[in-house]
Amino acid sequence: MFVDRPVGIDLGTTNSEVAILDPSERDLLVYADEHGRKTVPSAVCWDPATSSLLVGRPARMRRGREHGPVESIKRRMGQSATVPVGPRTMSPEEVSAAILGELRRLMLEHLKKGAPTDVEIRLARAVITVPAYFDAPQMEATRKAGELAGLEVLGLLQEPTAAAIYHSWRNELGDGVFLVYDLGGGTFDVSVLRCLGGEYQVLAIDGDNYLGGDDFDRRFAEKLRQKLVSRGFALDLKVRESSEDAERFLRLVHLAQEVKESLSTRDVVHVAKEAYFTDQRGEAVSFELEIGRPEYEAAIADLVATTMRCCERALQRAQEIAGVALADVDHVILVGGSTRVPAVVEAVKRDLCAPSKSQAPLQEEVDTCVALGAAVHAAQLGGLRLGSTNAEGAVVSLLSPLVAKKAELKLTLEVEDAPEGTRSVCVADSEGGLAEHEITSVPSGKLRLTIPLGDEPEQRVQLELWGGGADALAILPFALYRGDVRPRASSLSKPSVVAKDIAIEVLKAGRRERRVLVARGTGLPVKVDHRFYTADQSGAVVLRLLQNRLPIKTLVVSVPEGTEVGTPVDLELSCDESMRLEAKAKVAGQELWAQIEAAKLEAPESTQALDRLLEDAEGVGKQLWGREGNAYRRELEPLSTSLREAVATDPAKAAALAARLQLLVEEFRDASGEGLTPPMHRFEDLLDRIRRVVYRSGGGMLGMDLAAWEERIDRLSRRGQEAWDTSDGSEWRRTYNEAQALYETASEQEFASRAVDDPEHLARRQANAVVWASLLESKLRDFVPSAADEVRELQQAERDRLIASLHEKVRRPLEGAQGMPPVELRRLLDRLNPEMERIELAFERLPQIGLVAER
Amino acid sequence: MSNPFERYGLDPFDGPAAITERMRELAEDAESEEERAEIREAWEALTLHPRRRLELALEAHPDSRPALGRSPRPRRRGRSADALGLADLTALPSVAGALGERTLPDVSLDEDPVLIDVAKKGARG
Amino acid sequence: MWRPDDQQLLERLEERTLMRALWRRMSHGAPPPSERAAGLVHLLRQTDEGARACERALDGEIELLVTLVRPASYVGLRPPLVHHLALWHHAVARTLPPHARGEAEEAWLQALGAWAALASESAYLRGLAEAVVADALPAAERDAVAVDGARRLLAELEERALEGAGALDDVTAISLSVFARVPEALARVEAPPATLASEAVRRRRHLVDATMRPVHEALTEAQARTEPGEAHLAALAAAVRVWRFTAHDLELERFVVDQATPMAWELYGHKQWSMLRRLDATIAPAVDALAERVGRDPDLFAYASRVAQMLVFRAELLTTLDTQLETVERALVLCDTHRNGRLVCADLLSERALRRIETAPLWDRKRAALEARVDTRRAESLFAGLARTKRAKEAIAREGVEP
Repeated sequence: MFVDRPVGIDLGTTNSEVAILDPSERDLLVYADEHGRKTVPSAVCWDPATSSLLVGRPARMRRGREHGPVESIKRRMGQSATVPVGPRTMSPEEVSAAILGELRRLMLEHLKKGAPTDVEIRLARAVITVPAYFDAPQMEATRKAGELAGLEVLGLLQEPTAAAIYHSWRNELGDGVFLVYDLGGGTFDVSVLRCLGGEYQVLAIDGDNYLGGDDFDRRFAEKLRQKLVSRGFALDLKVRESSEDAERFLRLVHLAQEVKESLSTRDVVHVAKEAYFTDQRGEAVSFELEIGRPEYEAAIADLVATTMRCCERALQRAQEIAGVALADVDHVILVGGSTRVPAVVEAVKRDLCAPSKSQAPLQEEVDTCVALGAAVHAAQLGGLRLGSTNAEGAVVSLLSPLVAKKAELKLTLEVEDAPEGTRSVCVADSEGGLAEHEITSVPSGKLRLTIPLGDEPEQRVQLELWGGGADALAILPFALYRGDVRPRASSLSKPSVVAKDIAIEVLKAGRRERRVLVARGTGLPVKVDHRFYTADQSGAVVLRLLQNRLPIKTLVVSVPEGTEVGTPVDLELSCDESMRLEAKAKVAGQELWAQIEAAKLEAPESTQALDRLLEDAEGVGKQLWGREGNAYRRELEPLSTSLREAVATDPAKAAALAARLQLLVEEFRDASGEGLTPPMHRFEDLLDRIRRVVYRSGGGMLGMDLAAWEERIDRLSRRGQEAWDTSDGSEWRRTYNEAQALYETASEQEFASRAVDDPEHLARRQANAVVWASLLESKLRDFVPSAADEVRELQQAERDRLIASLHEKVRRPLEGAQGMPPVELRRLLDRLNPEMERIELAFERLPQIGLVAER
Repeated sequence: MSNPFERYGLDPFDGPAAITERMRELAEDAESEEERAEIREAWEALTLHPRRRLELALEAHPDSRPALGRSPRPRRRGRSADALGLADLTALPSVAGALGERTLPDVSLDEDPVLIDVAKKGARG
Repeated sequence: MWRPDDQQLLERLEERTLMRALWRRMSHGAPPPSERAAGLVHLLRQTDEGARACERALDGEIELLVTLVRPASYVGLRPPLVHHLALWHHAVARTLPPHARGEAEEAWLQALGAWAALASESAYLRGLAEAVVADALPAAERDAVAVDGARRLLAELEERALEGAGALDDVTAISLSVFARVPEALARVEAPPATLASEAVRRRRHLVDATMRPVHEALTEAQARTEPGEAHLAALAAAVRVWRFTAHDLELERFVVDQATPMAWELYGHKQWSMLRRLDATIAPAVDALAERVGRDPDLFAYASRVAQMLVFRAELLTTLDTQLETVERALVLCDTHRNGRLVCADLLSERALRRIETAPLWDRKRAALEARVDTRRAESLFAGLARTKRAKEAIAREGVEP
């Protein structure tokens, strides 16, 4: 027979770990090599000698040699880049799959030692952990890596949650609030979780996908470089352009890593290197340095401060959704190798432990607690699968814990496969059946059996599948245990949550807005239904899904042209435990289903392109003011600072940050051009026109004196400004319309006696019409359509239609108006104005074409 | 009846721990995934934020009914079941009158499931 | 042997039965609420009047009990009873089918009144809140949540309407109407929460905006695509419907006039009289209501010109001179400087002057010319130099009267 227990895997930036929960639930086993080392380096390289991949420690040992290892691949997950590995190029998923495959192999070998020979041990299922703050593309890439490694990925669990699960399991903490501070090699996560009677509630998560121990190392490597330059070495490194420079810098990064590790236990470290590498002139770089802890800590202080800001945000969110503040936190848990840095521990003690109920941070198993927690969760999700390896083909999953404190155990099982004719399943010991359940179909669905337990700590029992005959059709032995049950979540808990809002772009009061469909913190799996409405008759419905501001999928549904505005558009979005997203849209009898293969991040590559992006970002900032401007600058400043630093030290991080910056710039560029309609300047212009009419009249008009008029205009102006500042589209339109109405009423006095066809007035109107038409045409020709293919086509077709309409209905008749008698000219102009209004309105709506409206 | 306190028969004065324990039992006994999802949602509503728990408690009818009295002592063995009639339960003339001569707007006491149940139990005992 | 415990059980059963009967009477057959709602009947039964109503209800006459659960005032009722009443009406309001508009509105208003009354029962609410959340919430927040029932009801009312806002259905109509009647509900309460009325106004505004959003979208799409036509009219008709739901909201009147003005001008330019006539017929109630307001409230004079123009369009479409003149005169009362109004009025007066003379018997032409002169003089003062005025003056002169 075979047994298959799912494992928990922490796929880390620097190191990875794998663990499994013993079915007795007394032991959590983590893989360790013959030297007791529990971590496996996340490194892959090409071995020219065997023409195969080396993974883990053997790969890391090739640092600094030809065909050096690919490391920190986790930082590239979700990007479309590939990396060279010997003669091959591999995607980040493939490199990660190699690491996962190796972990599986090592664990299997480990478990086989001492296992009975007649039982085949299978490791086919896993829960893989991911940083809490991973985006959908990064999650998707991780799941794919698991599948490429031949694993059934039961779920992706966020690392801090895994750590909390481990600590509550280990220390039997059934209740309490945890703050998990997880500083790994490449990512920082913070989660606030509550454990309630063994059930988990993830209250908040935050973090930075591009901040970890690697950044400490690169930051200090740059310091080291500057020290060496000051000693005369030629080390003006161009890491993006020159692979040799990149290699030199990498050597400094490794040195910085050593310094970091030494300073974790000592106050001063002495570094002496002989011909460590050669500089750009070919001279051997040899040096001696004395580095004190304060110098190191000063260099990384702002990075540590960034982690604390993430913690503040997470706590703020926890306060919002659960009323939980820092003072309510019972345990602060430290996770990740980088939390060994003394400056980090100090900051956590000072800023997090002191104001909370936690005396000191829990710091057990910082390297392995994530894998251990994942193993507990994997056991909860996957249970224990037993099966026969012969032709009987019986497979049964035991889905509930096999241990109970009381004298009976409620066992949930599912018969997944069974010999022909199976009618019942029975749990029996040597003296006979203990519990039985009828089977009407296979797979059976979940069956519940209540089994009496004796007093012995371990009881050998067997699962028997029975047909109509005198003998069981299949027998699968296993054990039940009597003892303490550790806190463990039931199906009430949803430990994996959506890290960032999943949203859709919609129209609201004429403006494009992001509408959250699945809010961050929502437990997985989740399925949501939303109803939207068509807002135009373009013949297409555009559903643009985003995670935060990252576009993850655009669905375009074609509908019959002329489909009524306001036709319901039903969108169903589902997301499973491993963040696999599916969307179903239904509109006007058309249905579209799409699996959301998250778009990969595309970022400018060259240094020049990055410089242009940074300049562009500054430029957009200058056009924004008020609330929008502040929001933009708040995000822009840290991002551009990190990007400028990463350009010189970390090309992979620079690419990711550049992609993020690009999205920020795009969003706010739109915001600056697309605000409310009509634009502010037209409102201001209107108020000026009213003022002029009032002053021309000498002040007294329509029963009001000058002061009353001024007061009235000011009131309108204030209302308009407030609506504008708060982006209140409805109020803005109302105020604008009132101003327009007031202008018309005020102007009546001047117009009261003007002749209908005053030639001078008509000539002015004609000239204005000509200017307006040509402005409209250039606006239409200059229009920049959307970057998304399907949407671009729609917009271009509409733009072309408008240009044709402008020519046919406006420009041509205007050209023929020369010398027209006044009456006819007036009538023509009266007809052309509404046409141009119409084209202008359609032009303003071009960027919104196909978008759905929200009620 | 969408208020989770009323729907699942929970006492608003019980704390989150007791609520969790009860909801876990309910989730374990749930017949389908949909039902389990509803229970989970209710559990989150009741335990995630105390503000929401308080709101839901305010949206549940306060229990202003008088306490249920003690149930009658079991009848002595040996007495014939046939001898038990509704009259045994309705010694008060006004109540007997209520059963005999008057009808309630929609349901008569004779059809009241609790009374029938009491009568049946009496008949058996 | 009948024991006090048996009596207690019997009363409890009766109260449950009465609660269900009451529910059936008020809820159009929706599934009954929690059995704990029978506490409402129990509390009512504590008073003489309530005991009588329960007696009668047990005899099959439920109406007195129905009257008791719909008090004209919440002043002086015990807090748990007010709490039950709030929940009862709230539940009834939620379950009533939308076509039972009158009853649904009444239930929402009763619930609102009861929640507003309960808000001032701080001792009762504090006791309850402490028992539920102890110190898991800061005392101030705990108290705030406890008194917030009425506000939550308003939010729910808005939310329900927003779900159906696209359809402009009965649910929307009920919500809009209840919002308009909030003062009526608060009048049943001694000291309603201070900001509740303004909150209701704010939510109502928001709801009206949201309800109008689909109308606006349909209209904008129509305006961006074609000349004024059926789609435009349908959208304006929808706007007028919402306007009726809101018990004549001023902003909606302005909206209708704002949107209709350019349409009417375009139809006028293309001489599409029948479409212009239909446009006028569609929006006339809202235009007339706004005209009436502008005439009454000097603060609204910004709209004088637009409303006057809509009346001028109408005047031009009418078929009898008297009604035309009457309408355009209304326009000039609103905006006496309105150029088009003055022009059309002058033209119509001149026409009347001509007709006075043309239709008068020969022996009475002089008197007719004198009357016509009044018209032409006014016409000249309104808009000088019209061809028809000139013709009328000539006709007057022909009768030997100084024009």
